[in-house]
Amino acid sequence: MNQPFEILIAEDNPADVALVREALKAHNIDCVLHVLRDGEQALALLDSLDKDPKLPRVDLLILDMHLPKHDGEDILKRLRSTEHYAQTPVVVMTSQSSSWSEAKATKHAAMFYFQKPSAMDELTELGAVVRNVLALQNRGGRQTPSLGSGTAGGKH
Amino acid sequence: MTAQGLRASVHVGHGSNRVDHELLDALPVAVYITDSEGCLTYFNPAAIKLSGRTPQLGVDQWCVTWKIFLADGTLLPHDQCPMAIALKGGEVLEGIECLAERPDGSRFWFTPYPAVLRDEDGRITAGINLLVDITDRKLAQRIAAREARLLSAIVDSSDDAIVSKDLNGTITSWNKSAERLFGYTAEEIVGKPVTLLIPLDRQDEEPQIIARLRAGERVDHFETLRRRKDGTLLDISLTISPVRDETGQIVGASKIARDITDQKRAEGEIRRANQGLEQFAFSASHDLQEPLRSVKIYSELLTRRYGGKLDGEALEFLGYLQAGATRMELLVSDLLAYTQVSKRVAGSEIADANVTLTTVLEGMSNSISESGARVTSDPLPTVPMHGTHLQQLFQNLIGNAIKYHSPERTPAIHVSAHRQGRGWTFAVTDNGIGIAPEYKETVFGLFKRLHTSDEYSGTGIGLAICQRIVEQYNGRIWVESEPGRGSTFRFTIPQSSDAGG
Repeated sequence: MNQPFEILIAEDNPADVALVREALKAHNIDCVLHVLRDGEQALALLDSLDKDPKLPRVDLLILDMHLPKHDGEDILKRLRSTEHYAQTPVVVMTSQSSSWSEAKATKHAAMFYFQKPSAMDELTELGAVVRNVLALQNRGGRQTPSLGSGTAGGKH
Repeated sequence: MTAQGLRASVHVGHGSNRVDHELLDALPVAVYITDSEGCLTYFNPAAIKLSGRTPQLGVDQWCVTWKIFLADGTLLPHDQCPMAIALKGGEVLEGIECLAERPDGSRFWFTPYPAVLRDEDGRITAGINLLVDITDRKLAQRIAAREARLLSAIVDSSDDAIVSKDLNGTITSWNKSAERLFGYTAEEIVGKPVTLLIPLDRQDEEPQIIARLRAGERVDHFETLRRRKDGTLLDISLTISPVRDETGQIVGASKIARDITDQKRAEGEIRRANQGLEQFAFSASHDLQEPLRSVKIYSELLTRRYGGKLDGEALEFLGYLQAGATRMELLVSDLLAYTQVSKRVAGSEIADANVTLTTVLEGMSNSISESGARVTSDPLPTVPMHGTHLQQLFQNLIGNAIKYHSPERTPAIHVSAHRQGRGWTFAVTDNGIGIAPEYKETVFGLFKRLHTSDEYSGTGIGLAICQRIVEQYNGRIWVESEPGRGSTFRFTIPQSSDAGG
């Protein structure tokens, strides 16, 4: 059996975390979702992940740009300066009328830029984006799970 | 008739030592003749009228008048009057001003022109005097002097600096408030160029002002900065009027400078307060979007996932929840648009209204075709405004025209523009339901709606946005309407140079 994907989500709004979970579930993405409630937690986790090779490798970071304590830009910078996660794909999520621009996200090599969904079809789209990103990773031992083989799970 | 002329006529009669009395009788000027002793031998009717008495020939001496005073008010004895002095062989005084009193107590000013007649040996044989009434002139002078004193008192006590200058820009007068305001005394600055008061970066204002004055124009409430003696700057409002001489020629300017430092400070405070409020409204409407998004998507999720398990009433409630969220979303986004109007500063942008209208109509093609509306337009001008602003104006006005169409007619909307002074007036005319006269003003208020949302959807922000945009360009928006027949919304966009005042 393939190992589930390890996905980090830095998002302070539980309603939005639940939406992402819905999106992953809708696309049958087998994964473990690690939720980080603020920028400080996110930076601390990135540091410990980078130092401790025994911890599971993270496949994707889903990042809300407006986080308490440290914003998304700080986290992107830290991520890109790590030894092991500099190439990890990132999906940036922003609120609808955010001043955070796609250009700015691209500057930090965020792979995808996504406006937080306000309707079901947008939610579905977010799931599709995540699935495609993970498929691109396609690293040894990790395959996109077959249909119905798993659900989006999570732990903190 | 001058004294010189009179003397000539006297000389004409010299041979017979007689004067043509008939001629003198007809003169409108008081004339009398004396013998060498000063006794009156003749006076004309004008002399009776002027002096207010009929002298007695051979008795009255030196003058026809009752009492004479000098200009300083001291009584002048008759034997010291200019005629008496001349007859006694003294200096012939001409052109002095005297005051005389009539027996009835009334007074008059006159100038005597005495002359003496001499025989072949040079002896004085007679005297003739002509009294010119100068009362009217003296009165006019006195009134003018009083007015001048009054004016100078007003100028001196004015809180505003009042300064005059000639057309070379040289200061010619300087009141007390000018001393207080600018720090220069009148002695220091009169005769100096007015440019002394103008900050270096505004020196070009003076030639412009002079050019306008030369053209006979007034400069009204021109707000600018001027420099005090100590170098500090002062916010002032200038009103400058050309000064003309008696012939109407412009010879200079009078300038009233009002200190508007306090006013400017108050304006700044109001502006900052407004900006703060605007920022607040912006942040509030911006931040409201996020929780709203959750409400919207979760009610959708709930309907999709659990719709089948809910009973009719629960579904109805859920419908209200979704309708409320949708409506709030519209309100919030309109409010956001409203607060963002002033974020686009009116600058050097220009918009081709034809292009803007085409863009707007393309964007509205769905609602236009759904309503079957026919939208027509005249050739439109290019105007000095931000394209987005003109777009919002057309969008809201045409959108309203479609929304409030009459169920009895195919909606017909026409967009036109015509020259208004140096700017333009746009008109959006429809054949819709119209607006009752009592609502013509209120429709432009924020959140003002004339219908329930069941009848016509909307947030009541659209026209408020329009008004805010137009006012940003110092324009005006209003509606003309015949209820049941249609409405015409008009807005003006002045020339950009008008905006600065």
